[in-house]
Amino acid sequence: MSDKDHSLEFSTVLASSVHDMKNSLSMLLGTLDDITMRCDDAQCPSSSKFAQVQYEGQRVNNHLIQLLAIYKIENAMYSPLIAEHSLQDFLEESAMQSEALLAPKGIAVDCDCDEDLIAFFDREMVAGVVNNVVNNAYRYSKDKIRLSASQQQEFVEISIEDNGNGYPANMLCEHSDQLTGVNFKSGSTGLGLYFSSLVAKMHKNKGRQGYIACSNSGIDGGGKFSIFLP
Amino acid sequence: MKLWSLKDIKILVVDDFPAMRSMMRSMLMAYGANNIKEARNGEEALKQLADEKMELVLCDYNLGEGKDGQQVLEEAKERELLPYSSLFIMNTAENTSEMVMGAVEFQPDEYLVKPFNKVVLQMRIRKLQEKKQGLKKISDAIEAKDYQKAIVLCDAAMQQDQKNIFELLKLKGDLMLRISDYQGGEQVYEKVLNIRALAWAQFGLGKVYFYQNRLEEARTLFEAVIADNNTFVTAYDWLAKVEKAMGQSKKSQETLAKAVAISPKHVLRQKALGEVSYQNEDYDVAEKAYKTVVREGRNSIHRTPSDFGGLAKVYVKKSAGKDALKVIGDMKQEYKNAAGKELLTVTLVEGVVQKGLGNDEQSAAALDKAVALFEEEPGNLSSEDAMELAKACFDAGKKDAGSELMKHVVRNNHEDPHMLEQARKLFSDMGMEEEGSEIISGTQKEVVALNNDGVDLAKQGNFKDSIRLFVKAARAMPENLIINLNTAQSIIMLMQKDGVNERYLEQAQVYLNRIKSMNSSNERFQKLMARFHDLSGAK
Repeated sequence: MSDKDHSLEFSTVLASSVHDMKNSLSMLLGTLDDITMRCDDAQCPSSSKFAQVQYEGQRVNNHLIQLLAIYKIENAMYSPLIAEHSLQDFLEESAMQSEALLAPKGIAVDCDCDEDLIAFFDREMVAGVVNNVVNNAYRYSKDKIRLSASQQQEFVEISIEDNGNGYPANMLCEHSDQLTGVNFKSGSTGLGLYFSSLVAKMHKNKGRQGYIACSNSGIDGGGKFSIFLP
Repeated sequence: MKLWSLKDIKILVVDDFPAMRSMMRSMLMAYGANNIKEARNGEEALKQLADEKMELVLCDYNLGEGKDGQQVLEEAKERELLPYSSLFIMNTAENTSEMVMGAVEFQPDEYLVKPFNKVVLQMRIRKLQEKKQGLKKISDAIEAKDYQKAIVLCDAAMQQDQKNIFELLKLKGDLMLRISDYQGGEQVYEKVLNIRALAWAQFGLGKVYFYQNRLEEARTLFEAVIADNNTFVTAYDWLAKVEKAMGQSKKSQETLAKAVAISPKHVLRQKALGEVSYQNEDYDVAEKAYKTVVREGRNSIHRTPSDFGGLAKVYVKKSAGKDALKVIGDMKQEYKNAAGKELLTVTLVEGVVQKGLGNDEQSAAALDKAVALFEEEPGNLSSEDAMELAKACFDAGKKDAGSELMKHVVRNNHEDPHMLEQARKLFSDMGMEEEGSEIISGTQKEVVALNNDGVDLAKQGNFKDSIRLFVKAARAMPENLIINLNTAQSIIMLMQKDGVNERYLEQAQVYLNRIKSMNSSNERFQKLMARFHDLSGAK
């Protein structure tokens, strides 16, 4: 069998495994949601543990999305699905998706975005980026996370800020091309950043290309992650 | 204020996993849903949709064996089981990019990627309901087939609703194509493309170019769309159409083969591949394609006896007589209650295939029957089939029947140089050059005279008699461009004089549809379409 046949087979295996795992996760998280709701009513002593399980489930999901996406993008098997989206709707949805996770830990999420702002992007992929960053912020934030979007000249900037201690110095950058201090492919933070910059780069318009940036200009000097889309 | 809820909304949940269905159910019940039906697979879903109009359908893309979610959606739309006002949400565990690109013409209202929680589900449903409500006037106009009004409403909505502007532009582009206002469509798509190179707008503009017969530009555009989105399967279909129109049948076959590799179950695509590969004498490919049509098209409205004919003719070429006869047997079984046009096709296919196999007796019986059916209702026989049948008649020494069939070909194409040339060639192959030439010019004169009579009646303001004459003529020669144009025109003129009514509108639509499929870039046709839609808006 040739190498090409091998890679084809692997992509099918990967896609169908991810498919199955996501179905299972869907059941797992959905059922957990149900249990959490019932236990809140009954004031169950294990309530707080559920949030932890949910967090881990979300993490697994984020990794699955990244895994499949990186594989497909790197093998030129992915065409981004660019369409216009309301950023307010998009951010609200991300906030709602993670509220159940953040609320028990006492973290408040708010959204800041002009209601008429629209942008062109691959919703699913960018949602993957945002959810991943929010999931990290869950770990580092004191008690606030802010999602925001705004027009910055020829780009739309989508940001996730927290009020934690901020990023370590080697991860700060104004443009993903300058990110040399991080080994992209090692460790989960590196992988997340690598995925984010791939997704950003996939967005092109009139000669401009998307990019990501990390700074410590978040809430009260906390971390701020931005993805810029042309 | 009344709180938002799903109470009393008719909901259908389609999933092959019972656990997933019950989870969806409990998510929906959290928002007051109390009327939820379930289906385990595509067939069940379609049955439920046929029994009862649903307001919200949550359908999983992957439904195990049988139809997938996309096929359920397509069939539901084709069979008009889904009113425009209902919501169809496709759930999926996969990335949707490929799905969306494969389904440009039949898209669900929304894709929802697993895992999602009930808050997100709730939010999506609410947003969709708001959006549908905002477009309600436009969709009502579309359902009433008043496209002119729908376009005006789109323009008005664009002034107020910046958030949905691309949605509205997309709708307007579709509407422009529907009323064959190609310049209008071009403007809409150009406007979008000046802002952003969106695949649907490139695709729309490609179609505009095709209809305007700007084939080279159409090809460039479809190729560009495919280069950026290699799973955009409908773009392959259109590229193949363009290539075929340019006479590049080899290229067209290659393009269709790529499309089939991405999405193999599509009946019309396989049929196109069967036709072009047969023409290219690539019988292995043709066999495979027609086999798929015959098998997958079992419950499809797109399968016809000609597809069995296509497969049987491939077997004739491959000298596989047994297989050919088996297909003919299957065809006769499947269409045992056929009548009219279908019966004529079944009979002709049998005659031609038997002839190819050298079974003269069976062939003669079937061909005689086909000639009799043709004489009963000439309009049931296409020019192409008439030519084939005429050749068989001449071969069998039935000169009169053959000549009548050739007259039919000429009547349908009295101004079409390409078809007339083919007719001339057939006569000369039969050693009837001189006689044929007389038949052709005599028949042409006959059609011209008939047409002039109809035009004179219309000029005198006697539209009713003009219509009567043209309708009769168009029945006997349904492929004649001029006759169809004048039939539609007389009906439209009558409506302009006496007022619009539903029956005339429907009648005119029949002829306009025929013309569109023959020659969409015809200028008279486009002018008639504009007049037609002015009238249909005024009803």
